[in-house]
Amino acid sequence: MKKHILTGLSVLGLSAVTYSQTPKENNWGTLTGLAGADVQFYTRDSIIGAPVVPEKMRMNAFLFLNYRKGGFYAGARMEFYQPKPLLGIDERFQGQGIPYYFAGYQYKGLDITAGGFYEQFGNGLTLRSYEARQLGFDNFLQGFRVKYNVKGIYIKGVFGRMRDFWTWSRGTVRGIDAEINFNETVPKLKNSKFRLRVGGSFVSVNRPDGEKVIGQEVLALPLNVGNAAGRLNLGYGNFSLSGEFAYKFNDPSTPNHYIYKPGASALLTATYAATNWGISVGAKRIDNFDYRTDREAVGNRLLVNWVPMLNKQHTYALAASIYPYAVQYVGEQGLQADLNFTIPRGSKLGGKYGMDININASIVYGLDTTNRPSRATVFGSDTVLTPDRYGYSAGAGLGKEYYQDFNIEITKKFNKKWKLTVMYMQLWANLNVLTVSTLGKDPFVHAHIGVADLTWRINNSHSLRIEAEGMYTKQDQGSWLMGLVEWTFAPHWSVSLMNQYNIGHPVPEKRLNYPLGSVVYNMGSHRFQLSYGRQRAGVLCIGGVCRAVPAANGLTLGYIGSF
Amino acid sequence: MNLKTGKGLLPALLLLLTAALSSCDKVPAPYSTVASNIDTTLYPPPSFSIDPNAPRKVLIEDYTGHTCGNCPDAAVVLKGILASNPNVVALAVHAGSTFAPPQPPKYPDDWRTEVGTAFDNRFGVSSAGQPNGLINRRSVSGSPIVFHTSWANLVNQYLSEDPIADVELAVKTYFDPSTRRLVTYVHSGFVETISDEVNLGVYLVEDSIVGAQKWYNQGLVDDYMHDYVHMDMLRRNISPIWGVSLGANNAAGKIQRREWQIVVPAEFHAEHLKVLAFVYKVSNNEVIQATDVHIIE
Repeated sequence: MKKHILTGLSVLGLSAVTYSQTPKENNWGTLTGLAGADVQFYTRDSIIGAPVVPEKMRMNAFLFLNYRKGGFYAGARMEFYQPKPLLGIDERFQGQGIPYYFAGYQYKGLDITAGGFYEQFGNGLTLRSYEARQLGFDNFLQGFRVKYNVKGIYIKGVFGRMRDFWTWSRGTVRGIDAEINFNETVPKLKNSKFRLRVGGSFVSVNRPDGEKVIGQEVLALPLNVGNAAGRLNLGYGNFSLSGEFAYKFNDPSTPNHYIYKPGASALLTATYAATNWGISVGAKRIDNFDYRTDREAVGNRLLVNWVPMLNKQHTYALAASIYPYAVQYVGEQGLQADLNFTIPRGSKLGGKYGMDININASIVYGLDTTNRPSRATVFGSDTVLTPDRYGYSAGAGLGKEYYQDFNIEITKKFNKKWKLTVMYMQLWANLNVLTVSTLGKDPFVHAHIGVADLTWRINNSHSLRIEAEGMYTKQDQGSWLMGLVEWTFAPHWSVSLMNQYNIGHPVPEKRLNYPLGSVVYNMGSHRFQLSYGRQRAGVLCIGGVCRAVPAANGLTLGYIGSF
Repeated sequence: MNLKTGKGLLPALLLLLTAALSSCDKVPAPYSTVASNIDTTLYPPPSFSIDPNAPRKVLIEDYTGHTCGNCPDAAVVLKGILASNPNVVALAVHAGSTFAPPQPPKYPDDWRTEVGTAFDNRFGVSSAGQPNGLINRRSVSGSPIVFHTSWANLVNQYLSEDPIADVELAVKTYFDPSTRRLVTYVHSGFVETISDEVNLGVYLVEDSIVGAQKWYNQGLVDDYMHDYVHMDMLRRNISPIWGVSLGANNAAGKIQRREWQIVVPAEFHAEHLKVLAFVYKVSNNEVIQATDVHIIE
C-alpha cells in the first residue's frame, strides 16, 4: 500500500509493480513480457514553479519480452520517450528504439550471455549495473558475460560497454567475481549452524582518454582504472556478520576534482534475528569511491559501482521525498542501527495480534579533507600554486555533518477491521551536500515528522485507508501537512485523494496546496492509473541514488502489466 | 574439501586475477606537468618599442548571468559602446549565486569561472544586483559598481581626461590548433613614470557562445531565448587570477615582457577566442590600460 502512495506521489515515475510469471511450457518455449506506459499532460502552473512544457504531453513507455526454451533464452526491451521524457527524467533519454537485447544459454552450471545484461558483484562497490526506471537510471552493460558455478563456487566474468542513453560509453568495463559458499562446498558444513561465504571481485575500466588540461596543468591520466574488493559473510545461528572492503586505484575524475589518491571503502554489518526481535548495526566509510566509465561524467550518468545506503529508505511522502539522503560517493562515513521487535500476542500491549515496533537511527558525516597541500610551480615569470594532485589525506577525523535520522514506527492491528501505523521521525540534513535538492537557501534543515496511517477493512471487498502526516521545521520551505484518503473496493478499483499543504512557507504567497486525485483499476496482472493534480517539487531516491523531481500540474495516465 | 569437478578452476582463477590486476595503470607523482617551457624557436618573442602616442583604452566589465532577464539590456548598451569606440575593451563576467548558476533543464550551462567569481567577490558586483558593471574598476562616488545606463558617459569621461595611455600594452599570441597550445607574450611599455605598484592580468575571452538566456520584454515565451549569442565571455585566467606584479616605480621608457603557455580546452572555439590583458594599480584596483587581441588573426 505504501508503495502505492509513493507512486501516487511521484506521478512522473513509472510505477513499480512486481509481476509474477506463469510459464506456459510447450514445444515453442515460453514467452513472458512486461510493459508499462506513462503519459502526462502538463498544465501551466507558475506559482508552484512548474517548468513550462511546450510539448504539453509526453510519454515514457517500454515493452520487455523474454523468451526461454530449455537452456536457451533471449529478450529485448523497446523503449519510447517522446516527444521528450517525462519531466524529471534526464532529457538525453529522448528517443525510441531497442537499446537492450540479449541472448544466452544455460548448460548445467554454465551460463553465457551475449548482448545486454545487468550484474552486481558483492554489495556493488566494484560493479553494479541495474535499472531504476523511476530515477531514469539504467547502466546495463552490453557485451559478454559468463557465469559458472560448481559445488558452491560461483564465478562470473563480464566484458562490455555501458549504456549511455542511446549510445555506449567510450569506456569498457572488464570484471571478474568469485565467491565460495563453504556450506555448499564442504559436505560437513551442509547443515551446520555455522555459515561462511567468502568472495572477491576485480573490475577494470578502460577509458581511452588523452590528456586532461586544467588551468596551466596537463594531467597524465591512467588509461585503465582498477577496483578490487573482498567480502566475507559469517553466520552462526541467529547471528550474522558481513563485511566488504574495496580499493580503487588512482582515478582522477570530474566528481573527485581530479585527485590521484586511491579510493577505499569499507562496509560492515552485524545482524541478530530472534523470534520476536532483531537488531542490525552497520558502519561504513567511503573514501573517493566515485567510479565511472567516463571520467567527465557527473550526476547519475555512467556509474560503474554502487555504494549501499546506510539509512532507512522511507516510504511516507513527507519523510521520503523532501529531505532524503543521497549517498556521497566521493566520501562519507556513517553508522546505522535498526531494531525491530514484536510485543507478543496475548500480552497487555500486544493484544490479539501483537504489536510491531521498529526503531532506526543513522548518522552520516563527510571525511576530513582539509589537509591538502599545494604545489608550487615556477611558471613563466612567476610562481603558481596548484592544489596537490594526490589530493587530501583524510585522517580518521570527521568532516562536516551530512545527515541524521532517528525514527520510530509502531504498527498495531487491533482486530480484523482496524490497523494503525504511527511513525515519528527527526532528521537533520545538510543541503549544501545533498545538492540534488534545489529547494531553498537555508542549508541546514532540522525537521520533525509525524505520521498516522489507519486502515479500516470494512468488509471483504471494501477498505478505507487514511493517512495524516505533518512535518515541522523552521528552515527552508518550512512546515508541511499531508492528508490522504484511499478507498479500495477489491478486486478492481481503488480511489484516492491526497493533499499536501506547505503551511509554513516563509513567503506567505507560497503556502500552497498540492492536491492530487487518483483512480486505479486492477485487472489481473494489469494495472491502470489515472491521476490529476499537483506534484510538488522534491527529491526521489532509490537506494541512495537520487534525482530532483520538478513541480508539475496535470493529468497522468499510467499502465503497467505483464503476461 | 572435494573439488574434483572444479579441478583446474583454482589455477584458472589465479591466472585471471593476475591478468586482471595487470589491467590497471598507476600514474606516478606528481601526476601532472605544467605547460611552462616555451619553445622560443617555434614561438619567437616579438619585437616591441614604445609608441608615445599609444591610445588609452578603457575596460568595461559586465557582470551578468543567463537567468538574469535584464542583463541582455546591458549587453546591448555594451555592444553600442564598442561599435562607436575602438578604444574600449569588454569583458562579460558570468558570476554570482542568483543568476549565473545552472538551472537545468532550461539553463543547463555553467559559465561561471574561478576567476570571475574571485572578481565578483572582491568588488561585490552581483550582490549589488545584476546587471551591473565596472568601468576601469574606478570608484565613482565611493563605489566601483556602475549601472549600465551610466557606462557610455563614464567611458567618454575617462577617455577625454587623458586620451594617451600611461602604459602601452602589446599582446602577441601563437596558437597551434593540433596541440591547442597557446603562447602569449605581453609587453608593457611605460609611457609615463608610475610610482604605484602595478599588476598585469591576462585572461582568455570567448565571443559568440550560443546558449540560453532569459530576456525580459522581448515577447519571448517565458522570456526564454535558447540561442542567445554571448559575447566577450570570461573563460579562464592565463596569468594568475590577480595577475603578476610589474613592480613599483616603473620609469618612463621601461619595457617589461611576460609570457605564458597554456593548453586551450577542446570545448573553446579558437576562432572566437581573444586574449585580454590589463594593467591595474594594486593600491586601489584601478585599471590604467587594457587591450585584447584574437588568437587567430
